[in-house]
Amino acid sequence: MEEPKVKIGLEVHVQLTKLKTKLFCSCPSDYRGKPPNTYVCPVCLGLPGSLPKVNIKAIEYAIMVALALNCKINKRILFFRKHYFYPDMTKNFQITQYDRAGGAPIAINGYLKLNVDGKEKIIRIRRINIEEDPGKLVYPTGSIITSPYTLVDYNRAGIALLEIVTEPDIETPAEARLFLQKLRSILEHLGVCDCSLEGAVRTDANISIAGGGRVEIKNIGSVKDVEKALAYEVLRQKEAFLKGVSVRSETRHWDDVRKVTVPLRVKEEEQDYRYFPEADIPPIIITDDYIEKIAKCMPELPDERIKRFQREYGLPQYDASVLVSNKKLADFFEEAVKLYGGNPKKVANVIINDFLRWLYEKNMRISDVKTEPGDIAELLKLMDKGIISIKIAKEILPEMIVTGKKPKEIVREKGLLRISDEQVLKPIILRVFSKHKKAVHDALKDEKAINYLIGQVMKCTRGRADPVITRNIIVQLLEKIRKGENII
Amino acid sequence: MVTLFSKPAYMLKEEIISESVSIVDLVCKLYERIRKLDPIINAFITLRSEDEVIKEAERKEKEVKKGKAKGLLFGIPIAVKDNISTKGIRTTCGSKILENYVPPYDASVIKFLKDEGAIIIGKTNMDEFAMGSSTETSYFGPTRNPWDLERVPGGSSGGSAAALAAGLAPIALGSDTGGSVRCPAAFTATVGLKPTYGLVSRYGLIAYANSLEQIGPMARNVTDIALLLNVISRYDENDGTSIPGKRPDYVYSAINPYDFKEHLKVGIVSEMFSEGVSEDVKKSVLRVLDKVSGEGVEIDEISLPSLKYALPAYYIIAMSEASSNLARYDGVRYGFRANTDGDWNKVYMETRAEGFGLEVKRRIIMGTFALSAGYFDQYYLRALKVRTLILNDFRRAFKRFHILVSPTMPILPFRIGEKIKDPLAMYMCDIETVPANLAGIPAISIPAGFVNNLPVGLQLMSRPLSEDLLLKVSKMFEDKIGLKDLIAPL
Amino acid sequence: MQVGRSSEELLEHLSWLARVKLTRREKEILVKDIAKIIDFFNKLSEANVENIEPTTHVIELVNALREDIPRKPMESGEALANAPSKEDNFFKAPRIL
Repeated sequence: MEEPKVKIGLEVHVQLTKLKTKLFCSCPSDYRGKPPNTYVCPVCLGLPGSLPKVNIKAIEYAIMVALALNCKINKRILFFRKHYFYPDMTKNFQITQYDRAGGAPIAINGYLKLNVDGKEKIIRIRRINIEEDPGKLVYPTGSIITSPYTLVDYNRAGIALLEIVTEPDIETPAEARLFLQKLRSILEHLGVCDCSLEGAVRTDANISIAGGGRVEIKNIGSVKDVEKALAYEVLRQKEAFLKGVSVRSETRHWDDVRKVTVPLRVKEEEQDYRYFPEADIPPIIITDDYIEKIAKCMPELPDERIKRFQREYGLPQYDASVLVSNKKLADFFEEAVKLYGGNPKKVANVIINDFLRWLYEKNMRISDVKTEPGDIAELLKLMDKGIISIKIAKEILPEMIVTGKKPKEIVREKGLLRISDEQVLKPIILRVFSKHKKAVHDALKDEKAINYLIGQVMKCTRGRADPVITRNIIVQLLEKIRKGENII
Repeated sequence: MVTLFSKPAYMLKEEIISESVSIVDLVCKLYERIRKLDPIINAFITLRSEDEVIKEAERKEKEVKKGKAKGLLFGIPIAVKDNISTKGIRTTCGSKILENYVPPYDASVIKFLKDEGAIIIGKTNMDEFAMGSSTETSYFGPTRNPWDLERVPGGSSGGSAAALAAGLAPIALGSDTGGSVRCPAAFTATVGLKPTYGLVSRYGLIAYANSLEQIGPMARNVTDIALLLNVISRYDENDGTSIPGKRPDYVYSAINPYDFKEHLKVGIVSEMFSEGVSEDVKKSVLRVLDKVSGEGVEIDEISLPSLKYALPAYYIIAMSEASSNLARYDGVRYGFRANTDGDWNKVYMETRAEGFGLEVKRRIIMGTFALSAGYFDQYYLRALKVRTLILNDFRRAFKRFHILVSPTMPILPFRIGEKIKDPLAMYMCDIETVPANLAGIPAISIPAGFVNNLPVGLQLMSRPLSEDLLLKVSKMFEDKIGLKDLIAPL
Repeated sequence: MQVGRSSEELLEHLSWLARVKLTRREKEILVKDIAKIIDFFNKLSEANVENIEPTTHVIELVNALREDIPRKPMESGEALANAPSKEDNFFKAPRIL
């Protein structure tokens, strides 16, 4: 039986975290961690008589995103009211965009190119809307089900959001992950959003299989969770399909603890949002000149940067893509290259093969890490000068990452300097010889067995012995033994 | 001998600076009258404490003595409609749902008034959330017309108009969504102006229908209107619909006579003199037009056919916007909250059930209807298109005429309780006034005369942003008609 | 438009959409009003609006925009001063479920 066709569409809500103020008022936008209801004003609190006024930079950022996603930008935009009652809504309507009564979202009909297993795949962007974030609900018992009342903090109310909606062109959970990674990289490179901030990027996913019911999974936080939720959902729907059971169109919620999607307990009624134009905000006219001005000043986008890394640093495409997938990582890399001054490929290798691996193992993100690009440069320089071996370098890297200490510090503290002094090495080698007589015997016949002896020396010296010098000394000593000379 | 409480603001202004009038005396006199008359008239919902106001008056008098008195309205008391936010002073919109709401900020016009030295004495009664033409839907009881206490003063700014007509304040602020400044002006023989949409900041005006409404000056003569407009009509960056640019000096325009190089062309709109208008009113207004026509004034007729759709279009738009603007009242952040157990839907439903009066509920329901799925195109969207027709008709009219005239109200002031049970009959009262809100053009009502001792108002309209011309012509008509600074014999 | 069951259902639906509970008496009154008011609204169907653009904003203003410059927010005491119910600087709202 043919694999049923999977159609996935994503609706991504992105906070324009780099704006200094909210979308419709001048409240500061850095509300995270602030005491509740201290970053509010009559406008975002929706006090009677208050009026919204649009942040000009929000329009600029929206246009930048639209250009980066190859969209058509609408020249005359209106805002609309979307009505629904909920305690996190200060006005019980959200000011957003719509396409009726002459309204139009800021951008439509764009696309994003993905590299899926070496092949190019295009994911179409249906539209981009500018809209405001609601406030935050806090459940005193920790659960929406058992809380006898709800606490509300409106610090987040009015923060500028872009809603980016794709066509259902995505076909696998892995593609969804790739899409989100690329989108995040683009947003970071544009400098409009710090995607690592909590709640800065939220995703709703729509998935249907073989023309069956469309399931919406709401409000998924991390990229990892999106992939997991979709994988679960694809499986669930495929099983139903194979059994001949039809899949219901419904809204589900990703339970991160049990790792399953569950139907929303609250009955999702046919929502009549009663959209109509926001009369308090006059139309915004966007001229071709204005768009061109913005286009000229656009920062380097990920695709361009990948090509430049290949050109300037001689990196293979794969390595360049890994580095650029996260702007902070790419910036880190370039800074390290500058400070190192040597072969950029070496820097790339350390970062991709070792640095990233340790970040993943210790479940840290690059923004959490105290290690600076200069530290990586220093590490490489120490290796180049022969002060430490590659083995030692790989050992101290995780400690650098966790403690933020400089490589020289760690080397000094742990006494990890490379031993290249023959006077120091010879007695150690002799001790090894006396402990491993059989190996010495083997090494006399078979050159390859020398490696075992070198290994033992490394073990004794905790990797500090200079391998080349060690090898030379061992070879010399073996020669002496062959000749029957005294080796002590 | 002109009594202190009946003096116009432009006169009080001079006399305060020249120290022939004491601000403290003025304030005391007004409070004395308010104490005596307001229990009957019910013009005020909230009065600032007399002590507090006297202290402010004393401070201002000191400034006058030092020669430091600055401000276009220095020392002038003003009554403010209770849907305009005043920091620290309760602002109720005539509703139970905001009965104890104290705004933490001033509306921009209040800031401007304070900057120019005006003294806010209290907040005036109004139809609940400005929804009405008679000031009968207020949670705080109806206001009585000082000219006939059994009759309505008009609405929704009835409290402000009654305060003026009873000599309880020299100037006042109202708001006009479909006639709410002009209607009470007409019913109380006072003057009320609805400015061009966008001329006066709405920041702080508690919204009913935000694409239609404006805060409007109210007074007993045209010059005071111009004076008040000079203060409140500034550009305000807090209001996205505020029109940028410097305003002309409206007082200068009003008191300098019309330059008759070009004949003043005055248009009578046929649709506004049709069967809906009572004969009494028609006669009264036409008599006035006779008086003013003559040298340099040409009066002619014009038909604006789209006006027959103005009233339904207005109500669809106003009710739709009301259903949206009043959605925020749920008892979570401010205002009345029902004392009931239950989830948020239940609490919201009970809160709004108990907090809103019947007319407000009616308009919210009908507005929700006009915006809802399946009805939006046929009602709301269509109403917006009719609005375009009306705008176009007025543009055409202003190519021919400088000023358009009509009666302000189709009927004489009616008795309290007479129309309140028939909402459509009440809505019909707005037939002359809503076109100006739909078109966003300035419109003013001035006293035209009396019929059976009941006031009749004449409405004048002009093109957008031409308040200088409108006030100039209104002053000219006021001079010819001879009715100004009228206070009811109480 | 006739007053019938559909008017009552419509009123029930609108009352829910608008979150305004109605007493029995109010429902009796409004059910009749709805019919009359919809008739009144229907006058617009006589207007010829073919090829007419809707007017969403009556003045010809565009681009009313604000610079991205932060201003001091409200004091939190002020923000919560009118709250009917609060706890620890949060607004206290009814339960969700």
